[in-house]
Amino acid sequence: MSWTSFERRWRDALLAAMIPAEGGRPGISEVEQGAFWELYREAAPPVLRLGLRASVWALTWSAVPLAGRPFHRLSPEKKDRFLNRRAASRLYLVRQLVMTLKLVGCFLWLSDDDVRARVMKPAPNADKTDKTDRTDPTDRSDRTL
Amino acid sequence: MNVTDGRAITQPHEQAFDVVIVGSGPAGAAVARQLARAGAKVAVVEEGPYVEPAACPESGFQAMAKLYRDLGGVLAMGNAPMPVLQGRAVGGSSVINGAISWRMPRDVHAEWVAKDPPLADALPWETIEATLDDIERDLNIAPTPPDIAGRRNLLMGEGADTLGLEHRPISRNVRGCRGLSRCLQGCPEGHKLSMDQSYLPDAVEHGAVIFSSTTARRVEVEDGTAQGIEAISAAGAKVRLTATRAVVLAASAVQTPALLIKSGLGHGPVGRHFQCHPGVSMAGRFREPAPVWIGATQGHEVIGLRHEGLKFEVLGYDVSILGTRLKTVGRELARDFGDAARWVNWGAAIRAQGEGIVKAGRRGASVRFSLTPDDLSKVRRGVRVLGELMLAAGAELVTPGVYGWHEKVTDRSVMARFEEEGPLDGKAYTMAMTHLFGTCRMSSQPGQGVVRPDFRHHTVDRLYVADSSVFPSNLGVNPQSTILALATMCARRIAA
Ligand SMILES: Cc1cc2nc3c(=O)[nH]c(=O)nc-3n(C[C@H](O)[C@H](O)[C@H](O)COP(=O)(O)OP(=O)(O)OC[C@H]3O[C@@H](n4cnc5c(N)ncnc54)[C@H](O)[C@@H]3O)c2cc1C
Ligand code: SF4
Repeated sequence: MSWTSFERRWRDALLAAMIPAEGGRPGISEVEQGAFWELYREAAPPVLRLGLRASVWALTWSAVPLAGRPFHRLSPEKKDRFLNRRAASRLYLVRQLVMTLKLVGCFLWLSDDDVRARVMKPAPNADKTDKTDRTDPTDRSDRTL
Repeated sequence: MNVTDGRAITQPHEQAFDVVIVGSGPAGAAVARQLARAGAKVAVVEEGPYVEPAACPESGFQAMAKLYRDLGGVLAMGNAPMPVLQGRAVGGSSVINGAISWRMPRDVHAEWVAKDPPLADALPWETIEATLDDIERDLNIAPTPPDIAGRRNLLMGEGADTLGLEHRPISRNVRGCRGLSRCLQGCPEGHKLSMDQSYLPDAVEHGAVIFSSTTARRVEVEDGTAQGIEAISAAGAKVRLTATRAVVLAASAVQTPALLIKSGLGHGPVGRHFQCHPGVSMAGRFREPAPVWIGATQGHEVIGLRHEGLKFEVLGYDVSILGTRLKTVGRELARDFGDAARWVNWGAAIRAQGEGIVKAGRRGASVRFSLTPDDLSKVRRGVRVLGELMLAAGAELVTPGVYGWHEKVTDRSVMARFEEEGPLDGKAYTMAMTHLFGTCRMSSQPGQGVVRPDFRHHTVDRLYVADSSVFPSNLGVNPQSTILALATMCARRIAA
């Protein structure tokens, strides 16, 4: 079942708040998402699809009693506070809803090559003991059994 | 490697073989290689695709979509729900595993024999040892050298030294490894000697035929004798493969019992006694960079508490998976990613006593599994030791990720209190399982097991099970080498 335009808006607001822009890195809302959602549609098992949809509905609308408005209408600060409170909920199910959103968010955000390059930037004063060679493919001709 | 791609099988296909094997992971590959080398006409049926090393994606999501069963989203339900991770590709889970190679522990063999003495003759220790020697030679199994280990692997040794715990570089089945830390996404340069890079090409060279993207749906049995299998290609065509000598199930400890049940052979303990090694992990931030994406994927382990059913390993994987292991959300998570190179993840594997059950449903196999109170105590001890190890290795903080306890810990003495203070509620922890056992147990007693000590089904002739479903218990160590050894012994029985 594909997302309705309402659901997409709620989903995108939640994901954008899960990983916002920070320290020169783009947030989820700034990365190209088309290819990700296409692969998600093909590959995600029913349990994950159901989990994400449940998460989008539950987190969007539980914000009404808890924060005064549906999630997508909250200010950025309130969105952040709300997600943090839900992630630390007493209820296992609520924590899992946030974790499902976070899993999908991490997958989505880190499917973007530019984001990957920025997150996996060579660390300053990189690892002196690390002699891993990333440029010179090893000759595999000796690989016999 | 030459494979028959089920995506291109559009017409009904029927073919006769001596032996038909379901599943191309370590168990299926070992049987295929052994029997093909002995001159048998062998077919291997594999549900997943054949993916060349260069086509293994770097992104965790893309790799999981391509190489894992259900994107890693199969959940074992119980008192601590957790994902059951499995590969689904030619080579099975060996394509996406950490390449950790452990010999079968002698004490586990002794436990099996104590429970069922006829296993002593059926699985002689000396034969297992000799078979493991061959496997180690074939798969170039050797300790991870320090120059490709990467900092995060070396740090574990430093922490263990401080705590006085026995540790060592992990022995892995790799050749020419460059420490790209992508074993769990499939080695992009083929350095990991997973089955698609080792035993399967050897089997194909000796005449075996591999049907990829083809799913076995049923074992065909007539007059109490296995005749072959009925399968479906990814293109939707019916594939019927007959076997004159043996049908061998090697589809994993979850899929093998499911296939037996779907074939009307679900009587007795099929699917019962499911065991595993639940894994719990911890993230710690170090002062120095030690990126999860550099170095041998899993290159160091602490083995000093194996007698307690606990084993600790360095974890390495795509940065997207690291993100899910960081315990923050929102702005703090985005900030943590700015420091990604300083976050390290280590895990504890628990030899759980709990037993679960695998069932076959319309949507595939389902798993129910709960930890016993004793298992939960081990999980708790595992978390304590992980935290202490990281802090002893120089982490500036660790995030236990246990609901109801400190979110961040900087002091070893606080971490040491976890064993008393930590919750004994499985749902407070985040766990996953990758080592699966026991659902078609081997036993000399027909009522107690699904296969006999020689891997033959108790009631159906010419039907064998070769994967870790036959293990009478879990191992407490990484199972791939033991699976390879026992499957090789199963193949020798078929050839005899
Ligand atoms: C992420 C991960 C990391 C791991 N790391 C290590 C490690 O470092 N060291 C170690 O020792 N172990 C490790 N393991 C465990 C190890 O890989 C497995 O125990 C081992 O691969 C199991 O072998 P198997 O042949 O029984 O099953 P699998 O390797 O799971 O192979 C079974 C194959 O059968 C196929 N199949 C299933 N049903 C059907 C059907 N109906 N028709 C056709 N084909 C079917 C599947 O698609 C699969 O490819 C890891 C596992 C995972 C998931
Ligand atoms: S650590 Fe990297 S180079 Fe080595 S086997 Fe794994 S993926 Fe390949």
